[in-house]
Amino acid sequence: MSHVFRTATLLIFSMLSLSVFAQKYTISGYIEDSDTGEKLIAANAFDLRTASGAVSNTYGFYSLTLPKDSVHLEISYIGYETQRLDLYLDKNTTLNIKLGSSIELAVVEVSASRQARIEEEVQMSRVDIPIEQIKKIPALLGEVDVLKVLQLLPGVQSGGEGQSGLYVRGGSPDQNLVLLDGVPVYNVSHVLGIFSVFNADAIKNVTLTKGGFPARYGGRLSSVLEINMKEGNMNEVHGEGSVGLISSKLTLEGPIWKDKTSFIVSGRRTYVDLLMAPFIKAANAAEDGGDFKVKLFFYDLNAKINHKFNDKHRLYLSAYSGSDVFGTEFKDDGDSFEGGLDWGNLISAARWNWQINPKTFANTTLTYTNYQIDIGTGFSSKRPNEPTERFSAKYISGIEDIGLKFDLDHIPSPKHYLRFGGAATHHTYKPGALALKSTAEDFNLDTLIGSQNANSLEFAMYAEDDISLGALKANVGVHLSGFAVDDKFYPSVQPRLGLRYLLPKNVALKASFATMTQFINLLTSEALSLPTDLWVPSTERVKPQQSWQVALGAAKTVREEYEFSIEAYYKSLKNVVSFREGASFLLGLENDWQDKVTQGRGETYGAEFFIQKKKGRTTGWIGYTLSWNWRQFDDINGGKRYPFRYDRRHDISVVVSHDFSKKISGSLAWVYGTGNAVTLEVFQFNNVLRSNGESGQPEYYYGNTVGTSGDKNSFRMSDYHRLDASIEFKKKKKWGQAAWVLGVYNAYWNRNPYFILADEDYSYDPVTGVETSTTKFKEISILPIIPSIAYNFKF
Amino acid sequence: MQRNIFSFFCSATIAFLLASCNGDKFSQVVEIDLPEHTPVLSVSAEFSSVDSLLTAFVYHTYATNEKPDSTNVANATVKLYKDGELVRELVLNQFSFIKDSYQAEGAGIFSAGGSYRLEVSAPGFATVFAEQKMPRKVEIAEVTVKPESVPDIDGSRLDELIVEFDDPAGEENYYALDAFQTFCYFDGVDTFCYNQSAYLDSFDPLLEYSPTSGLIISDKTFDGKRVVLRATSYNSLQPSSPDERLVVQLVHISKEKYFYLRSLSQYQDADGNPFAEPVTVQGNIEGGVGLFALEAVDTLQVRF
Repeated sequence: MSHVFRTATLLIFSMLSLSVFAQKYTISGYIEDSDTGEKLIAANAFDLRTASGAVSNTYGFYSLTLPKDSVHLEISYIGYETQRLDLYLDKNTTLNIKLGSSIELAVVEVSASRQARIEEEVQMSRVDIPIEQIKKIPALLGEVDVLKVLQLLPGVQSGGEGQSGLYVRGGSPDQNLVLLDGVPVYNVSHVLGIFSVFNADAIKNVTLTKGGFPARYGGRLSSVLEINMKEGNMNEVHGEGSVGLISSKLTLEGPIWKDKTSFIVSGRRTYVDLLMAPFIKAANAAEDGGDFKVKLFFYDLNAKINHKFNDKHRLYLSAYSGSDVFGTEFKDDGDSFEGGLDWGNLISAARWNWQINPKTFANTTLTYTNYQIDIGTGFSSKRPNEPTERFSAKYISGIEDIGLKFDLDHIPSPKHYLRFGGAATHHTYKPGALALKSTAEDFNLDTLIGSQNANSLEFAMYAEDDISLGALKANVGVHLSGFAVDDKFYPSVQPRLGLRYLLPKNVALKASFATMTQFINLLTSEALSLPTDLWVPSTERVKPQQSWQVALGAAKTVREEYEFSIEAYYKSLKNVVSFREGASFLLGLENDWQDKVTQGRGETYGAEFFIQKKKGRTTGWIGYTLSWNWRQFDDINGGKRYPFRYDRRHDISVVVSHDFSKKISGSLAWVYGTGNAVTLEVFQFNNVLRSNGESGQPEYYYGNTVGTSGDKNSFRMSDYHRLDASIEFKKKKKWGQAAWVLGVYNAYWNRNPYFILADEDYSYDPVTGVETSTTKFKEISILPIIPSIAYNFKF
Repeated sequence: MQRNIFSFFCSATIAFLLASCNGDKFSQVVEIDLPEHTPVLSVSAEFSSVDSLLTAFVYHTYATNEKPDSTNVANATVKLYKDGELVRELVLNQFSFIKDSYQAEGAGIFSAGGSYRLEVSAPGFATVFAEQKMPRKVEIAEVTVKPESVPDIDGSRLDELIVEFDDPAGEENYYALDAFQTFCYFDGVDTFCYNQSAYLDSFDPLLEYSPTSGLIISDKTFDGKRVVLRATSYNSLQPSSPDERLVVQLVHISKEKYFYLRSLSQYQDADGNPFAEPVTVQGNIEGGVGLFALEAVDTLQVRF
C-alpha cells in the first residue's frame, strides 16, 4: 500500500515539476476563410519546430500548447493557400487566422481526412466530403444531392432506385443519426425518397461516420451524418442559384453588421405543378367536365444568422423548413373531392460558442425539430337549398423534439484532446392516428382513432480523450445514456475505443470498438415505399435497440495523390424492430402499434475497399463493398434467420471527375449492386385443415391454397447498375460566374427494378368453358434515362 | 481537349445504345423469369389422441406462374412410425366421403409423450417426413359462462366464457380453445337439433384467432400456473332449452401446429391487403410443405 502511495506521490510531483520547469503557453483562436469569414472545420495548425499540431473543431476553434520558445506555425487547409507564421511564444496568444482560397487549385478533394493524411488519424470508418465535390458529381434531374453522393461510398447503400435513404453497414435508415447544425432530422427525403431535403447551396460540409464512433456520438446504431450549414459571408453580400428542369434555388448571404453579424438565406422549390397547370386547365376545358387541380411540389428554406459578440462569444441561430405537398382536388356541380399527402420537417437551433480560456471551448445548443405526415381525403357537397355535407379523414403521424446540449473541448497539450458533454431531449411522438369528421343531415362525427401521443425524455453524457503516443494513437471514451418513458427507465453504458498504430512506410493499422444504444424506432413497411413510417419510442414492451461493432483496417497514402484503405467490420444488432408478418401499418388503427411489431437480432459483416485519387486534373474513387446482412426474429420466418431486404453481396461504385480546361469539366459515376432480397410467392400448395367437432372427431376444410416463397426474402430482384454523366461549361461574367450543366441519369437506360408486381394472366378454354389464371411477375422500373440541364450562377 | 469531350459523349451514347437495344425500348416493365420450381409433396396430417380414424392428405406444390393444380397425389406411400417402429400405413381411400384422403385405423396407437414420425413418398417426388411428440392431455379445471358481461366496441354486451386449467410447468405448451353449441328448435311436431361452433373471440391479445381451431395461445407468459382464459361470443352461450348444450374443448397442440395456424391466419388476413407485410406460412414437413401435428383433446360439457 505504501509502495502505491509513494509511486502516486512521485508521479504527481513529476507532473507538477514538468509544468513548473517546462513553461508552456497556448496559441488559440479561429481559422476562417479570408473572403467570407466562414469558419474552417478541421484545418491544420502545425508547429514545424516541435512537430506538434492541432486541428480546428466544428466551429473553427483551435488550441495548441507549446513550450516557451520560437514557433514556426504552418496553417493549412485543402483548397486554401498555406500560411506560415513565425513568432516567439512567451505568453498565451490569441491568433485568429484568415486563409485565402487558392484560385489556381483546379480540383477539390474528397477524402477521409482533408488535411491530415488518412494514416495520421485515429478515426476510421469516417468520410468527409467537401460540398464542392458533391456539386461536381452527376445528379438526377440536375438536383445536387448530398445523400446520393454518400451512397457512392463503400459501406453505404441506397434502398432502391432513386432512393435517398442510407443503409450503412447493414443498418436501416432509422439507425442513422442525421444532424443538421446539430439538430436531428427525422425525414431526409422529398418526393417519396427520390431527393434529399438538403439544399447543397446552403451546406458547408458533410461528414459521415460509419463505425468506430467516438463517445460524443450516441442515440443511433449505424451511423452519424453531420451536415453543417454555411454561416453567411461576414464581408460582403453574395448570392448563388440555379434554374433547373424541375426546380430553382437561390441563396443569398452577407453581413448585417460587417465582421460582427452575417446571414444566409437559401430557398428551393420545384415547379412541376406550375408547369402542368395550363395542360390540366386545357384538358378540363376540352372535356367540359369539372375543375381538376393537382398540387405537386416540395420546397426547402434554410436560414442562419451568425453573431460575434467578441473573440470569446458567438451566437448562431439557424432554421430549416421543408415540406412535400402531393394532392388532387376535383370540383364539379357543387361537389368537391380532395385528397393528398403532405410531410415535412421544421428544424431550428440556437448555438452559443464560448471560448472559456485558450485551452477550453464550450458550445451550448438549444434545438427544436418537428416532423409530421398528414394523409388526408375529403368530400363536400353544397347545393342550393340543401344543407352542406362534409366528410374528411386524416391520418396523422410525427415526432417532435426539444433538446439542450452542452459540449466542452479541452486541449491541455498536443498529446491530449479531451471532450466532455451532456444532452437532454424531450420527445413527443404521434404514432399514427386517424381523425374522422363528418357533418351531414343524419350523420355527425368527430373522432380520433388510433394511438395517442406519447412522451419520453432522453439523457446522455460523454467523456473522451484523443491520446497521442508517437506511433500509437488512441481515442478512448464512454457514452452514458438514459431513457425515461412512462414509468420505465433504461440506462445504458457504452464504451468506445479507437486505435491507430503507424507501421514503417507510413502504413497505418486501425481498429475500433463501439457499442451503441437507440431508444427510438422507425416502423417501416416493407410492403410500401411511402413516407408513412412511424417514429415510436422504446417502451416497457419494446426494448431499446443495441449494437456493438468492431472494425479492423489499414490505410496508406501513396505519392500524395492516392489513398488506399481497407476495412473489415462485424456488427451485431439486438432488439431491432420490425412489423410482424401480416401486420399492416394503416389498417387496424384501433390496435396499439406495439401489437404490430416484434423485436429480434441482426448480424452484418463485410469488407470495404476504397481507392481514391485526390489530386490532379482527374480525380475520383473506386469503392467496393462485400457484405452480408441477416435478421432473426422469433415471430418472423418461423424463427429462422433470413437475409435482410438490403443484404447486398457486392456493391461497386466508380466516380471520375475530369477538368478538361478551366472552363469545362465532366464527371461520370457508375454503380452496381446485388439485387434486393424480397419475398415472392414463387410456388403454391393446397392444404386441408382440421377442426375438432363437438365430439372431438375431425372435420376437414378443403380449398386452402397457400402461396409461399419457401423462406422470407429468398428471391433476389435483378442486380442494379447505372451510369450517370454530366458536363459543366463555366463562364466568367461581369457580375460573377455562370455555368451550364448538362447531365444524364441512367445513361444506358438500364431498367433497374423498383418493385415487383404480380400480374394475373387469365385464359379461357372455349371447349371446357373453364377460365384459368396464372401469375406473371414483372419488375417495374420508375426512372428511365433522364437528361437534365441546369443554369447555375454566382455573384 | 475537344477530342476528350467528343470521346466523353461518344462513350455515353454507345453505352446507351448497347444497353437499350433489347425488347421494347421505352417500356419500364420487365417480365422476370422465376427460378424453375421442382414440385415437392404437400402433406396435411393432423391427428388427435382420440382419433379412431387417421386421415392424411397428400398434394404437390406447383409454380405460381403455372396453371393451378389441386389434384391429390394418388400413388403416395404414407407411413406412421412410433418410436422408430412402423405402426400404421395409411392408404388411399377413394370411397371415403372424405375425398382424396389416405386413411388408417387410429385407435390404440397414441400415448402421451410418444415420438411419432410420418414419412410420405411418391414416385417422382423426394421423400418427406416430419416428427412429433404426442402432447399429454391437459384437463379443463373450471368453466364459467357470464351472460352479457363484456361490452363490445359497438356498445352491445357479449357473453363471456371463462376457462381455467393448470399449465404443466417447465415445458413449452400451446393450446387451442374452442367451443361448440347445440341448438334445438321445435317445428310443431318434432324437435330438431344441430351443432355449430360458438365462434369464440377474445379481447386478450395473447389469445389469437386461428382459421379452424378456435383461439390459440402459447404458455410463454404463464408457464406452470393456473391459467384463466377469457373469450367472448356473439352467440348466446346459455342454453334456452334442456336439449341445448355448450361443449368446451381445450386442445393441447404442438408448437408446430401453433405456428402453422398462426402464420396461416396471418397469411389469410394479409391476402389482398397491399399494405400488409408478407407472411411465410410455417410448416414442419422436412423436404416438403404442410403440417404433421399431434394433439390431445379435453372436452367438457358445461352444466348450467
